[in-house]
Amino acid sequence: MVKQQIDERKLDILKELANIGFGNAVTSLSQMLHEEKISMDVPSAELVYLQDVPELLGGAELPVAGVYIESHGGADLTILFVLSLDSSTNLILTLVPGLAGLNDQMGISVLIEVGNIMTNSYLNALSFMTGLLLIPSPPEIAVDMSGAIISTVIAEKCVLEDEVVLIKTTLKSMQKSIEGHILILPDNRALNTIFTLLGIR
Amino acid sequence: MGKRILITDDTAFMRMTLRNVLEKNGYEVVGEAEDGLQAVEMYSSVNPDLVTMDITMPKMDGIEAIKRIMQKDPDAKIIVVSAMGQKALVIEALNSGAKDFIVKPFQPDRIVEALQKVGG
Repeated sequence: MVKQQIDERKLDILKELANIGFGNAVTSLSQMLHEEKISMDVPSAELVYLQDVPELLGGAELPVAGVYIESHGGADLTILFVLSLDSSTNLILTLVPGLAGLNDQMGISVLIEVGNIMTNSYLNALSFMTGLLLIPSPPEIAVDMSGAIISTVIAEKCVLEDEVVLIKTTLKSMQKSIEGHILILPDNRALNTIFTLLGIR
Repeated sequence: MGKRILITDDTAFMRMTLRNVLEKNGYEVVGEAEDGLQAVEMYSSVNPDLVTMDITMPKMDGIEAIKRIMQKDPDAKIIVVSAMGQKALVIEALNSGAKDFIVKPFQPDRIVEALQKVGG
């Protein structure tokens, strides 16, 4: 994979786009959780080595649930919503009390759908801002150590030694003890397309 | 007697949520399809008055399913309920024959209002 030509200015622009996109995703989540107040960190956009990403999620061996979609069409991106197992359970129980969390097929379905709606909200916002048609895949879920999930999600597109642009935020619902991360991994062509559309060289 | 509805969504949780909203509002859910292909088949076998249709699904997406159902029945009353809300695809769904397009997350009132407007 070709090393990314990216500078601070471009990273700032990605952060700004992400702020709006993530804002939409968090708004959707709040609406699904009965207007629960959810705080969101200022997004980060940086060049990272893929193998270092699990550390950013709390450690490669931390068991987590990850729901992700891929977008194709105008730009190829992977969008991933990751939560700890406790947060997953709290989210599931907020929506459907009485389920056995991730041990319940319906619980898994709840998480898939929440992740689906959030990642699509991000995509819808990005589409609106850029005019690109971004066609989402049906969502996938993985419950595993974060290192394993990152490997699986990225496996087809690049190798772990690659340096990639990672756009990220962390969200928290204090009341319901739900905390998670949203990660965006655009591929190089997606970044070039977006910057070209915005008139940035 | 309530109007008969076919629900289409690839997520069990969303099918359950829609069923609850619809039954609470006097509709009869006569079938649940998990993808566009099932929706097209069930439209014939179950003959609903109304259909809710997701867009992003495996095997056959909602736009394709809408086209095929409209081919079978030009009077079919389909409303889209999808997480995907980009303008180009909304327009394509409506041009293919959908009568309304609701973006998730939705308020239950919005679904009921859309169905009532379509003649349910």
